[in-house]
Amino acid sequence: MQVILFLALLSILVAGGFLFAFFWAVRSGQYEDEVTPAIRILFDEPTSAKQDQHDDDDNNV
Amino acid sequence: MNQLACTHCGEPCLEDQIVETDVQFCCSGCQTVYHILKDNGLSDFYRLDNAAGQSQRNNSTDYSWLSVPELQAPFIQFQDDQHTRVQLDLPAIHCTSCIWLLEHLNRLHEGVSSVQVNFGLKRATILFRQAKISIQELSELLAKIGYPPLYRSDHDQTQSLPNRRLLYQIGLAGFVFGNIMLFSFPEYLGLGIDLAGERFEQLFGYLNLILIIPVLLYSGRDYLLAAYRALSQGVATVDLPISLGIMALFGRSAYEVLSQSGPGYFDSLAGLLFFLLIGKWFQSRTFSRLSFDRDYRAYFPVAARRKESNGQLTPVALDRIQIGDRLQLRPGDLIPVDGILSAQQQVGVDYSFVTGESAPQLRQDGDLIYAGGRATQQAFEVVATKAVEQSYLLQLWRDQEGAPSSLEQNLTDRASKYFTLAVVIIGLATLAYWWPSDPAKAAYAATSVLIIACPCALALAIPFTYGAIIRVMGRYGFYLRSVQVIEKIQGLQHFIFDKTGTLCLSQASTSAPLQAKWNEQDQAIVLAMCLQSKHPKSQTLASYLVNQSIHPAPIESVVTESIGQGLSFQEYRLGQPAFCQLQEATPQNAKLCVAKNGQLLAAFGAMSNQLRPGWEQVLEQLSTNGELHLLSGDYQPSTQDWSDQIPLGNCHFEQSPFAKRAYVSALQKGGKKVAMLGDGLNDAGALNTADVGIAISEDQSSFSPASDAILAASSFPQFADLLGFIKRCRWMLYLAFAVAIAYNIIGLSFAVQGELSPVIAAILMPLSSISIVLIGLGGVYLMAWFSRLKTDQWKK
Repeated sequence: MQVILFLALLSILVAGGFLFAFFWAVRSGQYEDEVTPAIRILFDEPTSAKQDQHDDDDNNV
Repeated sequence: MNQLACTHCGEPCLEDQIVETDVQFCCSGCQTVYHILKDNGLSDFYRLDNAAGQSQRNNSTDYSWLSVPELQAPFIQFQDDQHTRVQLDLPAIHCTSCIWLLEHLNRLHEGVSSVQVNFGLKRATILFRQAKISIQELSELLAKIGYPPLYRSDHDQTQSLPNRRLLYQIGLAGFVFGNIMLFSFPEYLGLGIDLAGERFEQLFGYLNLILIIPVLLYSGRDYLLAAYRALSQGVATVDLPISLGIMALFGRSAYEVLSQSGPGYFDSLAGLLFFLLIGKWFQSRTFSRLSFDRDYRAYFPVAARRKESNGQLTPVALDRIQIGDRLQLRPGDLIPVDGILSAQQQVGVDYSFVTGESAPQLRQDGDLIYAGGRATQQAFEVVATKAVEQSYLLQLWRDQEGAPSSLEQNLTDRASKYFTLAVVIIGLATLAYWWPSDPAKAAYAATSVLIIACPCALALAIPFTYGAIIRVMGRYGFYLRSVQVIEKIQGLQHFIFDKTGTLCLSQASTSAPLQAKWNEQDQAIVLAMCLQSKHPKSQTLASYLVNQSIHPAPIESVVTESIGQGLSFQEYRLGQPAFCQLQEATPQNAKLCVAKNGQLLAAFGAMSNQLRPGWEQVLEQLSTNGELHLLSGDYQPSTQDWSDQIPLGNCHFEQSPFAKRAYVSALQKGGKKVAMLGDGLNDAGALNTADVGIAISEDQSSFSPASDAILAASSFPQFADLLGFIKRCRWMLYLAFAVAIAYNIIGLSFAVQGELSPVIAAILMPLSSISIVLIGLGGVYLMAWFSRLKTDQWKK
């Protein structure tokens, strides 16, 4: 019967992970712009992909 | 003449077009942008969306004030020794290509590190290295490629923060709700003893208790605090019965778990908070791209140009302007402060912004001029006689703050007073009934009453029904500020219209000339003359000629403008009949003549503002359930004018912004509920004072004064239908209330008998919440579908 206790705690832990994922998503502003990302993903980025990656890092200073 | 479309902006190229191989431009600005983009490998811009650029004609904005650190400070979000981050409003953002171009700004200037566009808000977050590009240079770069940043003095950096907190609260409540349900399954299914034995039931009980505490303290915090505040002020709000229910649920459940007498109602508590918070989120999601709170600062520039004693011009923030400062104004600038005019000749000041009257007024050296006017043709100087905050026009807002804030309670709060009272009485009656025979059962039954009678009806019906109305109305071009506005719309009896820009189109128009004997050559020259003047009549005439597919003639020399009279160029004269020096009799009713060497070329009648399409229908429908008024800043029109066509009993002309506001308050003092429809700064006071102030706006990026609702101009014809729809939706609310009361009666009948088990509560409470949400949402959307209103025409 110890296994039920173990599973119960494990399930809270897993669900807690998702809760923190949600908090992170809110915190990073994903819920504040629901339009632009859907458009942005359609742009072809043959040459500048790396540059943008670098700039994203800058953004988090 | 063949029409070529500009490769950059898609506008027709006129006589000054610039043609290169394969491409052509309407102006040199567009050409410059095209070459900047092409040279930097950004020609994908045109591939994503044809002719996506912004026309570069009439593009000049001065950003030199940004060189002053204290003026740029409010716009900087973040700064370290290398980088600066700014958030800029770029109203010109309109298509996918815009996003692409702006987010590749780093290819145009190495100083720009990254750009992130928010398309919905038309805003860009830009990170740049201040050593390589200053904020002024950045603004000029953006303006050069067609996205001039808009700096407003009421700029607010911290708009979106409270919303995030609500999302955290919902997330936490949802997480705990799910987990507690999982732990309660053995209890629901009666499996407790078989599966796990006594100890596990206790264990789950303790786990639930641990889980619920953060929900109570974080997610439920706002309700508990609001209830405490309401209680200490002695007013009943909907938070009171909610908090009563929450406390009863928590206290009873904690007692049951700790005394090991039962599993508690933790699932119901978490579920209740989860649904309540979703309701709150639903009604708070309004139209972030629209601003309902603009005050005068939104209209005014951030800085003015002050002329120092040594003749130099320095930018100065508006609130730093001191009495005696000499300010220089260029054509198109807004006068920020009351002052004495200092100019060599007469100047025209356009007060349309304040009064709605479109013809510029003449002022000369030494005249007192009021803030809010716009310099028309010549640059001039103003010596400030008051601080900006003290200016005449701004008293509209200053007086407002002294007015008592509306303590009037909404429907929910009024109902919740009786609801709380009823719940407490039923609870006490239950307690009194059971107490003599079984004190334990008495306490159990009384707390059950508090638990089950949680005010889902009040707390959920309104957010979801009204939230759905807000969304549906938004789809039809009627943007409501908050759910409170919906309640106020229900009781409206008086509708006040502003004239120019509201009932009439703001652009004047003219019908065919009374007399015309001009050829295409003459018309082309007249059009060219009109295009050089900013006078509304010239612009009206110009748009008439353009509609006749006339192209302006290339004229080199400058057109002379005699203010208040007309324009002259070589042998052509255009203006008032007397100004044209006609050698023949002036045609009857002629208000504007065009003459060449004294020979009449054309004569036009009054240039009136055209009534907004659909006005007959709107006024007729509104007059059946309310009284209509017209308040206009214009002069009383002549008898042949349009006002005769309008069946308005109460027309008032030459109304100052203050008179308009006083008119509204006079009606309100008589106990009337008043709606004001207006569009300009001159209506701002009245819009603010009216029970429902509705601003009419031609397009969503343009400014509208502070108001309770914004109506898209294209939706004006169905304005009365929209109001009717909102009024009909009240039946959906009543239905939701009825269903909630039915659930409450069922629940209470269990509770007073002391039979409310956690399982019944766990079924009944979410079921009632969900059915109320479905009735509110589904009802409103179904009604909208059946009403078949026309959707919004605003370009998204």
